[in-house]
Amino acid sequence: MDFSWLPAYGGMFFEAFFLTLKLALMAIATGTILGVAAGILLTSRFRLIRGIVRVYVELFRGSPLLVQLFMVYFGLPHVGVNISLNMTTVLVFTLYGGAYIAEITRSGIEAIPKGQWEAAESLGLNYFQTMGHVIFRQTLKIAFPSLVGFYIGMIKDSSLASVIGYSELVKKSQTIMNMTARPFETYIVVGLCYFIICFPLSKLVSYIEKRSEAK
Amino acid sequence: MIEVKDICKSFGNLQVLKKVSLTVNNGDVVAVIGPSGSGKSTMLRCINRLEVIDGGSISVDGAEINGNDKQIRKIRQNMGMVFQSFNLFPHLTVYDNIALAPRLIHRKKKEELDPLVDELLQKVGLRDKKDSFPAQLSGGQQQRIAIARALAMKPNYMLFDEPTSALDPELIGEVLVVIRQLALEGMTMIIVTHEMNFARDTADRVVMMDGGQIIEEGAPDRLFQDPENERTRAFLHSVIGRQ
Repeated sequence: MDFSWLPAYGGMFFEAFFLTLKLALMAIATGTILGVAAGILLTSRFRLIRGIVRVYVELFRGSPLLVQLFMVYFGLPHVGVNISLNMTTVLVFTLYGGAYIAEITRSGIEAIPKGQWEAAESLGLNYFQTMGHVIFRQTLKIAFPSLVGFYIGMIKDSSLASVIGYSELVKKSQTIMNMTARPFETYIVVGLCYFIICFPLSKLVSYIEKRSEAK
Repeated sequence: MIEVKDICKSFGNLQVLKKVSLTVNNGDVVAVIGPSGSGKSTMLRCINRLEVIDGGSISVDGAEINGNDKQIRKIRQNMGMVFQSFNLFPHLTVYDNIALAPRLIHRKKKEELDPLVDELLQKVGLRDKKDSFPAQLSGGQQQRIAIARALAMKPNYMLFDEPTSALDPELIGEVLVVIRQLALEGMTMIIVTHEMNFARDTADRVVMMDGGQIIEEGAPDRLFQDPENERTRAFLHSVIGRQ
């Protein structure tokens, strides 16, 4: 193995690593906002609302992320929408992540005992006060491990953005490989980059799970 | 005044309440007794619309409860409810459990909430537990906090749904003391209970339910000593015989 080329390409790796992080963080942030909202709507007492959100969730959970990326990438210009590659990528990851986070949120909300709703409502709190101050705060605690687990998946799945030309780690590493002709070593570095982000997160999850078990 | 008129309630094919009527005047302490499945809890839950009635009517202070969300919230704010399983908010401290409703609904600030919470905690004898979380309290303490929480909106009415049924026997007394104190202060209350001695010495009126109907009601001494209804007699015999 030969890593002597690495210092010369360190800057490129760093840049790509940053872009991966940026994509992942943006997708996680917007996907969480969308997913939490959708998840709450999935527990709505109005059937029509539940139905509409359910269609969205199932569509995006039931098709591969890779296909979603291609569909939006080729599809948007087709219907006259021209947005940057950056925007396209974040949009797809948001929709994809939102669908899964919606399900995580829904099951978290449904895991809260009915008595919590009743206690809050019997005090005279309205739906939003009950959801915001009583139900959702407990949901967060329940859903946190699955949520972070899904975030780890999102970070790794961000590598798929390379197929539409988003210059994150995997895309950049192909360029680097072409110049260095060192695929094995390059992929080791790429793998390590993902590991550096994901490993602490999965440790965080097991730490939190252990802590809540001990309680 | 709470007026329950001919209310009916079914869960699927099972009719739980069959034309139940009950009037509770201000200052009344009404104990509701009867075997499990007789509809006691369901009747109580219908009064603050945790269950929606299928027929009949319920009026509070002259206003009939309809489907209006705003109206029912107003009524609930004036009607504290205490549950069998406490239902404290586990993510909030004792202080925040009690302060939540007045803070959100009456927009009360800390300066008003502090003395209010302190007064309520004193009432239930748990001033030192202000910063505890529910999981750190015993069942009896949790139920006393739940009572304080229900009192935080300064309601005119209190509903108790088997408040001591989930408690270990040695913890029942401390909760009953608090409820008795409320009765002495003149709070209007409906208490669904299996504690016959408590019903007898605290209530002004005892209501006996069986099979989804009120089969007898009257002053506690009369009802316990000389029940008119055969089923009341049998029920009291089996319960008090066991005690």
